[in-house]
Amino acid sequence: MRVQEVREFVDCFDAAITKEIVFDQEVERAFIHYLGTHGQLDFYPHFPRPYFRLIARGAFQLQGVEGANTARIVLCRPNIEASLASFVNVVRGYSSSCNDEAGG
Amino acid sequence: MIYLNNAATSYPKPARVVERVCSYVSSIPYHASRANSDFASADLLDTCRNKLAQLFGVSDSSRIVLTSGATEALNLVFRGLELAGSHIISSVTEHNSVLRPLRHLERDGVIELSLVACDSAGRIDPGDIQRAIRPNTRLVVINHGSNVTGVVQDLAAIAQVAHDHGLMCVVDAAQTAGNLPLDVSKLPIDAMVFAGHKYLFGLQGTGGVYLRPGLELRPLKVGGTGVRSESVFQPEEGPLLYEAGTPNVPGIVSMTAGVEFLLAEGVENLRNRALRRFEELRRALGEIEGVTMYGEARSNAQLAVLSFNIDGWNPDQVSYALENSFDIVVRSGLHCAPLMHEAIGTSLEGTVRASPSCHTTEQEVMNLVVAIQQMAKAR
Repeated sequence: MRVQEVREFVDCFDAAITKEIVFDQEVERAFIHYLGTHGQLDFYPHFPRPYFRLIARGAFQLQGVEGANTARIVLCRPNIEASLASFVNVVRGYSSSCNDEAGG
Repeated sequence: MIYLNNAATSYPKPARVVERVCSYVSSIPYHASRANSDFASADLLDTCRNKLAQLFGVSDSSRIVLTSGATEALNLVFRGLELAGSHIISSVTEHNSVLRPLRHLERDGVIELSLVACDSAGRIDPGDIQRAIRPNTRLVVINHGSNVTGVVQDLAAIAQVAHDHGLMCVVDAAQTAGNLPLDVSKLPIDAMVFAGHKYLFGLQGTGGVYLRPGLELRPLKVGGTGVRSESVFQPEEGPLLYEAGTPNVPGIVSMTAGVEFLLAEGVENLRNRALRRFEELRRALGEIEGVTMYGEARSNAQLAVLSFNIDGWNPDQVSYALENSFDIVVRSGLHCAPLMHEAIGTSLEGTVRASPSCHTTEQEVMNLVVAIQQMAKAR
């Protein structure tokens, strides 16, 4: 799992801090649960398409649905780039843990 | 996908709108020397004006100027009037398409601006407008129907206050044109701005303004008109003065077809259909713990626009979850009306807004209610 693209998201609020994340694959349940190890996760699997939202306090807020390859992130000021970098690292961490499991 | 964002732009468009636009763009573009064309551009614009005149009670259709939308029309009015040194009265319920041009004029030292307050539902007291009048007040600008709370202002009373004090009155009817019966011949107003892509069921990039007889403006733009090319200056007759450039003909075709739909079906009839959905939604949401609604329930002074929030969810999360989990499109945020949100106490994150239309079904409203029930329970 990796971040393939960070798209601009233009809507009512500050586009500087709200972005659309495009992953290289669909979000699976295991990834959602993994995200929960990095912040406060609310996961609603009973919604027609299971929905999650994550608050990684001081870092970012993320929301998405299982099965989509995108998610919406709200980055934290003042250092937006660091906020995005921290999210990218979280995703990288998932890939590493998957590789470790595969290799183990 | 269930679409409940008609206050932003209407969907679906009536079948005749779709057919007419497809037919137009599939035909060879009109040019003046071609005989027997079904799509003579000049006729298309005049046909649109005539239909709008019929809809709005305008006796002289040449008083209707076609623009790219309500924003251009508002800019035409504000920059076209001689306002230097004037005081303008408007309100906190306005959309940015009104607020920003006025704020720019204020910042540039052209005008003084007063914004009257509203109550917690978004209603303006005409008495407050009267109390804001100064010796140099020249103009009252009013949002007829709120795109946030759906509250419809008492336009007759407000326009009368302006008229009684010798002031001009400009109406932003972006949310009410096609949505409420409007007869400008019965209102003491000077200009009424409308959007083509909302309840007139046209495409985005359309709209215009009605100017009362005798009201002349400086044009916002000058340039090619397709006729009278020998004239060095912009022709001054009729709407030509204000309509330089290639018109958005497919858009105008769409707006004509949309207005024909309204005239055939009846504005009141279509409004009642949308209001039934609004009332069903409001009633159902009123029974869900954790849901806060804004505006008021009086349907005789209300559009089918409902702003709400759910405890434990910010509006962006609600709209994202509704769209991506439940296949329901609504809108979240400040809706380009930041001062309205300050007035109703939602300025931090705004609201979720559902805006059914005459095409929305009871089942679609129920689906939204079920989704909100699930979200309210899940917080």
